[in-house]
Amino acid sequence: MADYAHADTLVSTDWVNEHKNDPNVAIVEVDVDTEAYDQGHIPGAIGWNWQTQLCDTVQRDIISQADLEKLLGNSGIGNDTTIILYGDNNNWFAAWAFWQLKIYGHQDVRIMNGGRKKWLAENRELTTDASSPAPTTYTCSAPDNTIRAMRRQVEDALDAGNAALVDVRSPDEFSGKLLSPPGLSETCQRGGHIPGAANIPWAMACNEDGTFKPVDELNKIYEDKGVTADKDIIAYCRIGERSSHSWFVLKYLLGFPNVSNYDGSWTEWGNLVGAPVQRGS
Amino acid sequence: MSNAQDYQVEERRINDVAVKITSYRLGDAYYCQVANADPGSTIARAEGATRRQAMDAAISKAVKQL
Repeated sequence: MADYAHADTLVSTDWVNEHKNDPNVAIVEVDVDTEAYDQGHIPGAIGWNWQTQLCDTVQRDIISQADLEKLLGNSGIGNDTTIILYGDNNNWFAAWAFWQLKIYGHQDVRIMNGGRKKWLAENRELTTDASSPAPTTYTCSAPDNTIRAMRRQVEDALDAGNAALVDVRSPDEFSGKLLSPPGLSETCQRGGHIPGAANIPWAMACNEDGTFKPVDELNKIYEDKGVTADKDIIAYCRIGERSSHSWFVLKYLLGFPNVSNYDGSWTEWGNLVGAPVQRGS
Repeated sequence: MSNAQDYQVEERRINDVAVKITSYRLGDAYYCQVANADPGSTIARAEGATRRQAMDAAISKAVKQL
């Protein structure tokens, strides 16, 4: 993992196994499948539910500062704790949690390379006992909104033509053939993509075992589509979570300086009246 | 506490949708999850005393969902 720009944001399954009882380390599982934690998790790991705990459940927004402070405090996490995130499906929602923790300034947060899939495939220890950490008090930093793109910024970037838009959804969603992946409820009025966006599906960044691809392969994936470090990059998907994974890859593994995640994504853009939409590949 | 065992992923089509079916054993139970192949969101999950039971139950739920 040494070649990554910020290799310290990744840990191996071996590292987690060795540190799972370290009192300065909090292991947190965040899955797309919110029932997975209950069916076996790393001993000592806390489970966060992305649908209820990592968002504002009333208005559409990320978690508020106050709610995150409460969540971290109740999870026994202090400002100096090393947080290790992992989850199913190539760490999809672990990256979503990582992005929000960085918005609120948590210093030491890392992702377990390979996530839940690799841990299970290696026949490692699991428990179904929920963790019950002693509560702490956590104080967040003021939000760093430079890593978050709102609709207005996307519109401005589109007008100015000075940003690289990266649509990380599947080719069929990008082209407009599909409004949403099969079996999912969140959808939109129009299919297609933001004009000028490059289609680089998020999972291209991962190997079959769930780990991230080597840095030279990742660079090539993005360079081939014109997404380079000198540009302001805005990643988006359908509701902003797949794109948080690509945001992590671009910012922390490749070290691109100006990368933001448009979490409004296609469920916002594809519902806007009068917003420009491009169809086809 | 025990170790995950017999972890297995297979790809299949259900109602013409490409899915990944993941199953493993933990203690006396088998767990099975059916997810769409892309992006990998869970469609259904189930558990059973054998892999076959868990898979059949999860696939049966997935057929209704998709």
